[in-house]
Amino acid sequence: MGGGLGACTGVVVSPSPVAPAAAGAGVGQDGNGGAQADAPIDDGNLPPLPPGSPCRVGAPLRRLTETQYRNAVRDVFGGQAALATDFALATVGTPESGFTTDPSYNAVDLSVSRDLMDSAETVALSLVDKLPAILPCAATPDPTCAGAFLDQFGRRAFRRPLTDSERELLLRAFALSSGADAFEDGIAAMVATMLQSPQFLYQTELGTPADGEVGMLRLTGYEVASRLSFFLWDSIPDDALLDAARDGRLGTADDLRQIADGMLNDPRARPTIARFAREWLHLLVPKPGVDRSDPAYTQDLSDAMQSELDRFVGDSFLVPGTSITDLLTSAAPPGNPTLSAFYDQNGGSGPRSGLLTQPAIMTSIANPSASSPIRRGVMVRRKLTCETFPVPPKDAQSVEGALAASPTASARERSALRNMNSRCSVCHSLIDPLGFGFEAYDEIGRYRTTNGDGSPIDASGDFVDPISPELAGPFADLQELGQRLGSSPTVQQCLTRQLFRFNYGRLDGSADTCAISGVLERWAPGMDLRDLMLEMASADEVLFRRVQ
Amino acid sequence: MMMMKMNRRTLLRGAGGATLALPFLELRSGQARAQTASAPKRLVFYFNGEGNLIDRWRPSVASGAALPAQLPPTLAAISGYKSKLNLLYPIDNVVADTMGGNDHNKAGRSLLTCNVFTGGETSGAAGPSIDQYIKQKLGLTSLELRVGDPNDVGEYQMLFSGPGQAVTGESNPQRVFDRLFGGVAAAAPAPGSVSGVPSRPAAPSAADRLAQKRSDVMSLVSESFTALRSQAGALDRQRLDAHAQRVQELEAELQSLASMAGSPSAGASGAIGCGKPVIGTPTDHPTRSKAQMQNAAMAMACNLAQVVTIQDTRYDVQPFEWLGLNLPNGWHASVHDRSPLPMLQQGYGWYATAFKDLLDAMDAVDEGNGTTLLDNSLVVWITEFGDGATHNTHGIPVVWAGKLGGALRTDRYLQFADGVSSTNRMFVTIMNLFGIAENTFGVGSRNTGTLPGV
Repeated sequence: MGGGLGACTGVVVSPSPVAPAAAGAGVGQDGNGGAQADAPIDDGNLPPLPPGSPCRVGAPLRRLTETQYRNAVRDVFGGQAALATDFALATVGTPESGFTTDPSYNAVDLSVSRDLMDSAETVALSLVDKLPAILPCAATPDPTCAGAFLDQFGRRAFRRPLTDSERELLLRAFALSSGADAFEDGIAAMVATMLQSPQFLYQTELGTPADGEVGMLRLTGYEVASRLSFFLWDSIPDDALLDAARDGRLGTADDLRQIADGMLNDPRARPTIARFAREWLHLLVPKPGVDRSDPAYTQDLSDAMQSELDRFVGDSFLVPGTSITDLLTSAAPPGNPTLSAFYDQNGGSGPRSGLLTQPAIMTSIANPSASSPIRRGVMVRRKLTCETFPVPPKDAQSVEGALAASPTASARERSALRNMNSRCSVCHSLIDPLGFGFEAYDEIGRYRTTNGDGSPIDASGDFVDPISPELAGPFADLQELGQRLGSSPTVQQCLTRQLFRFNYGRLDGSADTCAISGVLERWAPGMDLRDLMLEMASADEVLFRRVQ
Repeated sequence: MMMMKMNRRTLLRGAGGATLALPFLELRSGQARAQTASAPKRLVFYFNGEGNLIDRWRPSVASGAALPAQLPPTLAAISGYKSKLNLLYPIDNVVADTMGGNDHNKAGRSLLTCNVFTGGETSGAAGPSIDQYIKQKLGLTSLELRVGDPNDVGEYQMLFSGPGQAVTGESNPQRVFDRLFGGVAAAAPAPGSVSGVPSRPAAPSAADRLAQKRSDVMSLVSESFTALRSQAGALDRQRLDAHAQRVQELEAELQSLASMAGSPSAGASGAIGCGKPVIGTPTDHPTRSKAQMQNAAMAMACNLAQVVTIQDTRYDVQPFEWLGLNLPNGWHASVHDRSPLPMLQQGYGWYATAFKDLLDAMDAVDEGNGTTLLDNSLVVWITEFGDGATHNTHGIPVVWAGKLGGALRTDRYLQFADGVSSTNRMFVTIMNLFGIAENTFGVGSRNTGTLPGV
């Protein structure tokens, strides 16, 4: 078990690869060390669940992320509305869960409140010229046509039919205008109000008390529809999904699975999966010439890396029969022509290990002009096996200062120097040998067989004291590490936890073991990643929410 | 009561492009009026990234002595304002010493807050920044501006209204005015308007008409929270309430702006048109910077804001292409390398040019009794590091401009003994100058007391 890790962090982690209900799947917080979040939920004050009950899963009220806001505006108005070209919603920090759906990342301060006001006005005004094309009725100064507008667009914006009082409030916004342009002005004021309402800006899951399920609320069909659409599309439900909710066709896990399967075939699924992968791995896009000094790393190459990553993870999670092993071991070279040409000019793409050798990832997790065994080793432990890992002590860089005195030292020599300091080695003896496995891929993802000084690259490594024993031991190269990770139950569990965090916008806690192991048990036998998406979307607990 | 002296010709000459060749301030009358009431005190912060070249910033005069006629190279552009300046050195940010993590995150969060992270190294600051604190204490209105692309701020989120409560600046110069003057009737065209300048439409546009309803719309938005909050669980209700609170603050801000805008100050009837100008959205950095400087002056002149921050957010990628530098590795890497030195001097020197744009705009606003807006203000130019190359948060060079209505002596170089100064003490000094009788700001070993001899 992870004795060394305990020594590094002072946190005792679960020794079990697939945590049984009692072991606590998610006490460790392998996030990015950022903003304050809600404490992970435990079930201490609720009676145990009777057998066969859906798991109790708490879900915080989630504000639409910037991406979701953009998508929602697009989808409410059928692509007719325009956002400001520089639209952005301010955020601070990195969410504890690692995912931007985390409410701790989306708090509304005065600046965001202004941004939302400006944006609501911009969108409203952009619609005025489009009204003849989108209006379901002839413009009338009385509220008849405005009401019809709400039936169509308000239902999409609020993801359910409006209540009488919501309708009345928005029609008061319509009635603020008079004069020659009263109708157009009224619609603009109504849209501006609607887009600033919490019913639009938040994924609300009020539900109704569930019969016989203590501590649970049963979500309405419309709320379930929104769960599916925000999880799979990062956007609002379409009219067909809202109709399914209205007609009661979202009441069982089988219903959800069938509908989710269709939703994964929609073009909106791919960017959502790409966002999941990027936030899971905490990827940034280094700026050419600024964050990476190699002139071969151009904007075109950077763009090609990003689209290749999106394609690869999209295919991995969407093409039926693609397994988590494929995700971490695929030997297929990049499918992007710009990238292929780049590799051809640089001695070939080398052996590939799926996600692990994706150039966008190797480039993101690197230093400006050198690879970074440390960051890559930490990435494996935090993101692929969900270990808890602390941030470096605040004086860590004072040791780096000493290392800078020998700028020609190789990564392994630097690691050896660092490990002479026992405060460093307590963690770095766990990180560095793992990260050395990535040394054949430089800071812009190029395959290499020699170091700068001509000495051969040694890409062997060692997974020292991992969270579960099947991962342990030396490996000859990244391909061997990929095989080990790709068949590890720990990695399957970790990926399930990450997707859970993405879906619910929070870190998982001990009470979530029920839900996470349920999903894990259903998808892991076939290891098919599309099944993982479908099982997460259609679990029984999707129909419920734990009371706060 | 105040009077604007800034004229269109001045603006056109300095604008550097057609985007600013527009009626910035509408002068309806060229006649000065008698000044009676004294002008309010204003506080401005200007920030540039990456410290400075200290040996090319420090004047070679004794502490307390008058400034040389020609200021050192990275300040040369503001030599003409010598009589209205104080240079303060070294100012130490000692709070950053206690923080872990990336040099930029810790320097950025602590610089104006004198406080530490709320959580990890990318979290917010654990206390308010000095601009927000003074604004809250005195019940003033603030304006936060950025120069750069909307997402440039990166590690340098430095304004906070309270623990973890970030305040974001506006980087789009036109939107600043749309916000300030939204719902206010357009200023009448000035007599003898310049040819080629688009005149404003006679009738209010759909955008103007919508802006005029902002208060009513926000009131309805506020109301829309009510039903939802009653159904939400306790934690969710906290989130909704926090959001609803911001909506109400925005509503109050809009009402207060609406009551102030168009009437620059009590009694200055018709002398100044503080109507909404059309700036456009310049994208080149110097023009955008200049537009924000003029926005700042305009907002203060029209009494729409008394506390203004202007943050140049391009601290990393800035190649200074308009100076012909095109720093191959960008600003940040070159600063670290302290090379190429002549280019670095030019880059730092450009920030002095940008600062001069601000001083020019403020000094062109006549506030009566022979004083200008600049004379009645304290403008603080600060940066997060002392020596840029080492990213050291000690030894920060700070420029103060303005006399704060005569409360402040100027034309001085103020040097502090080692271990005496701190950003905390500088901010306590500023609070005292603004009549806030407090002796502590933020945390850290030097969070109490004032700067000696100021």
